[in-house]
Amino acid sequence: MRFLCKKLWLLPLLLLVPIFVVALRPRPKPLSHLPPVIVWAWERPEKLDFIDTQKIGVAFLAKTLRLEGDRVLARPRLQPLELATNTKLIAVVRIESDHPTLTTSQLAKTVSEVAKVSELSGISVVQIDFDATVSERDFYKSLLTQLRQQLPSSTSLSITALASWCAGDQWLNDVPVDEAVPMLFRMGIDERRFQSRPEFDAPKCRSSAGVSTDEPVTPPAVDRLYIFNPKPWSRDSLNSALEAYRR
Amino acid sequence: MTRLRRLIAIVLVLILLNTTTALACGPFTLEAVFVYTVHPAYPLEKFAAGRIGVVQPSYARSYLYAAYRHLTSAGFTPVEQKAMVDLWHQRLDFGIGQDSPDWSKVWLTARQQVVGAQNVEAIEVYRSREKPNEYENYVNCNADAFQNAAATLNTRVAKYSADSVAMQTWVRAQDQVFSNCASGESIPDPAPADADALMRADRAYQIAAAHFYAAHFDEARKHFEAIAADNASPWKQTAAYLVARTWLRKSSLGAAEQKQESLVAAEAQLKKILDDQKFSSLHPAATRLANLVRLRLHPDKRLYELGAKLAIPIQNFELKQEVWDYTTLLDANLEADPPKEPAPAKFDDLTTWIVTFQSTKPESIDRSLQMWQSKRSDAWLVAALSKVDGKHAQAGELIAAALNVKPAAPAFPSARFHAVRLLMESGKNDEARTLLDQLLKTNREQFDSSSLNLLTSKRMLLATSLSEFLTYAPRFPATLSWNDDGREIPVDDGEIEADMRALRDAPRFDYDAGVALNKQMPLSVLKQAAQNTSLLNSLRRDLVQAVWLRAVILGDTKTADDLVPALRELVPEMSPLLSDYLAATPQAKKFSAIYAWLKFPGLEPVVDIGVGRRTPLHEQDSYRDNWWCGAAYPPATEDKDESETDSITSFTSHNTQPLLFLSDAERAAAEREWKALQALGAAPNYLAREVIEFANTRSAGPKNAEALHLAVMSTRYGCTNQETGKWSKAAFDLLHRKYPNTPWAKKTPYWFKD
Repeated sequence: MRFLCKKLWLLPLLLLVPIFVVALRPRPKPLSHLPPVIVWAWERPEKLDFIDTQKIGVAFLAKTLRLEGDRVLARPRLQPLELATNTKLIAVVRIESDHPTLTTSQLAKTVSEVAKVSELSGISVVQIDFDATVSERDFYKSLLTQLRQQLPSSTSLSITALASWCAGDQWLNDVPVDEAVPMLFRMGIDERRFQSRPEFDAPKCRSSAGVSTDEPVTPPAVDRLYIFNPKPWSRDSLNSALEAYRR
Repeated sequence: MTRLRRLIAIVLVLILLNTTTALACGPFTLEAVFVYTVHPAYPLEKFAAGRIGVVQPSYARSYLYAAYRHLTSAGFTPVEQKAMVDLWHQRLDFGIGQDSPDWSKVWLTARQQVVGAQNVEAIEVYRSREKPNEYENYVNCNADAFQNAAATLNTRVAKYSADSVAMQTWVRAQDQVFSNCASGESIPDPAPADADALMRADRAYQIAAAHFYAAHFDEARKHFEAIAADNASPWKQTAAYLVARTWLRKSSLGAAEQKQESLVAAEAQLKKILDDQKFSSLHPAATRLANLVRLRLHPDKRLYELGAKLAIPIQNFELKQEVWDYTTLLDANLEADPPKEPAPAKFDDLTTWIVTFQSTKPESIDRSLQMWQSKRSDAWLVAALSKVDGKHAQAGELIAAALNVKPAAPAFPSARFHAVRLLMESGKNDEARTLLDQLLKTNREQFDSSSLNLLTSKRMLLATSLSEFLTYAPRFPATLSWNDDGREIPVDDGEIEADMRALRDAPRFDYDAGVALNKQMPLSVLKQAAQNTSLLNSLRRDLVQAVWLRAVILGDTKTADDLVPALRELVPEMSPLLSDYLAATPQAKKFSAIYAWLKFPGLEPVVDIGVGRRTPLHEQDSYRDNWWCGAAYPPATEDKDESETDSITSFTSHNTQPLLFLSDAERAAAEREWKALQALGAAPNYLAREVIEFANTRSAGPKNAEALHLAVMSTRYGCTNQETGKWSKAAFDLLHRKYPNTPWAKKTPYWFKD
């Protein structure tokens, strides 16, 4: 009995082992189902039916919202988008601000408008593209939190981020997104800081980066590279971009 | 398990948080736009009215169209000016906000008068296409549909009364029609047998419309054709028009292989309507639709057709739509991959002018000259002037013609600017300077803020003395813009703080002035510039700190010492450190200055270009713009010239040339000094290196430990490169080895990799 008792004290520890094993087991990285290159298809006619869907996905502008005063003006994509079968798709919602009141009702309407794009067929990721001034950050934090609750659990949430949000700034740390894509183009004076050797300490910014074909940069080593083209994509422009970024 | 994960996460977060210091949120980066290249200076109303400034080939084509109209003396009526401004704002605004959401309001309000009508809060007007185009949407229900429904409802209520069963069923059917706007395929039932003729006719029309909005285009057309054939229907004429609209919509949204035949059918139907005077009330709408059909069916023909029409100064109530169509067609050609330049057409001077003005092909130079020779118009003079350089055989002839343009002419700013440019490029600097001085003295009113900056830039490059240079180096930005999308949209006052708004009204250094001061002037000249009190204090402050620090780095102690009084006056918060600097022994002087730099991370040996760093000099910038951030990066990315990356030429202040008032020896000295500064690499590495060297070779002083601590911090909050980790560790190691028990060692628990 004493012997047994001696062994029993180990039992709780032994029970904890599988819990630790499960808890510490490496989880698949968020968005790991996406290809290593994602091309942005903005509000212009885009013909991307030639891409290799194993290597390239498409993040297309699905909707533009404008927060104007206390209103939320929504405009869906109005331009053609031709895709190859089985293309991995990200629906992008661009949010613009024009003296918004940022009220609770404006927040609810915005969340609802963004959430609707997840109902489009074949969408596993929703990406929000926005420019939050410092005073708008609380609004966007609430937006992302409520959106996360409204989106199906199988839908991932991505945001684009100013490069400066990902380095030094920490406001993205507690927003419930699966990735923040630091934008390494159209950076203004941030350009001299990030263009030649971007480095991002915010954890959510480390898996991906956004670049443009007209502003060559050396992107950091990331799982996914988002590429923007100021003109509609063509086979040539895509191949050039892939070559330039060695993808 | 979730709790365990959370626990582990909390522990990890705490560990991670312990390693970093929270940074304050910094401001967004505003850009000072000195010269517009995408669109003209705001307010755009002035451009529409004829104050077109120096016309840039890189402007969007709708502005070039307006410029052409003014250059050919065609101008615009006030109504047309408003149409142009509306178009520009709609495009700069991406169209959102101008259209859509409130269209249905008129109908939703009208239907409320019908007793028993169910509540409908809003009607979504966009509908997504069918697979495989489901990600594309279109405006399904236009404003006129709601207006027409509301007007008809009012008429019917007057006849049947708002509480009649007839009206209740009428509204229910119309609700079904509009329910198809966003999605669905709801079709009203046919009118009951006992309904009167008007109600039956209305219902037939509602059924056709419901099919139309449900994207049943063949069905809709058959219904509209039947109504058009019904002489008793009040919808007879409208239905005939809608047959054409149904064909057009089928061409846009139906099967690709049926697109052409649908457009041909639409064109035929519209011709029938336009040829028949019975349909005269529908002719304006039918004409607009026919224009759209022609745009799609015969784009090349329509381009020239519009080009010829839009060039002529006749009252045009469709100007906005036609300019929209015209520039859309031009853009489609010129921005195709590869671009397709429409061939010059004798009857369409406008298109030829825009294409030539923007073309970068060598043959466009000859074409512009030939057109100018044959037409002798200001439009072609401006095109030719903008395409040749000062070495061209016809440059002299063009300059003479440019100088003949009268100040009241819209071409005056472009003509004079290019005359100056060509004179400079042909080595006639004195003539160029005289002309510029005359323009800046007597013709400022003819130039908008952006164009004026082009002149001032040239005048600065022509300066014969440092004093003259300093007169023309500071310039007022044409605007402040976030410019994150390259559209140079002026920032709204509400978006920025008052101190940033004030920047718009304060002169700054533009790119050319910054390059001249930072790279082209040697320390000896910079010292004179720093001591020149003609500059505004805000700019002189930047210049004095730059020259003082440059002198320190380059080891010119005398210059650094001489500038201390000016620096103390302009940056009084540095005063104690400057006293220490002056009191230091010759051996400790550099360390004292380096220590001051470590305490004032905003100091840098260059002046700011544009808005520059806004964080106070003694504070760390949240975006790491500390300790001369630009030094960390290779010159190739630092000095990118925007005008070189544009496929279409734009004239900016980014062109630099040797300063005329500098001697060869001064130029050579400037080059040597700039190279020496560039050789420093990332500033945190330099700072750490200097502090380590001093701490290693000098006796222990009270500031050594603090300087080592600050040097390590600079490797965290400054701009770094691959060498930084090495220097950070070296400073960290020395601090902990030599000053282990100091507060500075305790405040420095880590060193930082690059």
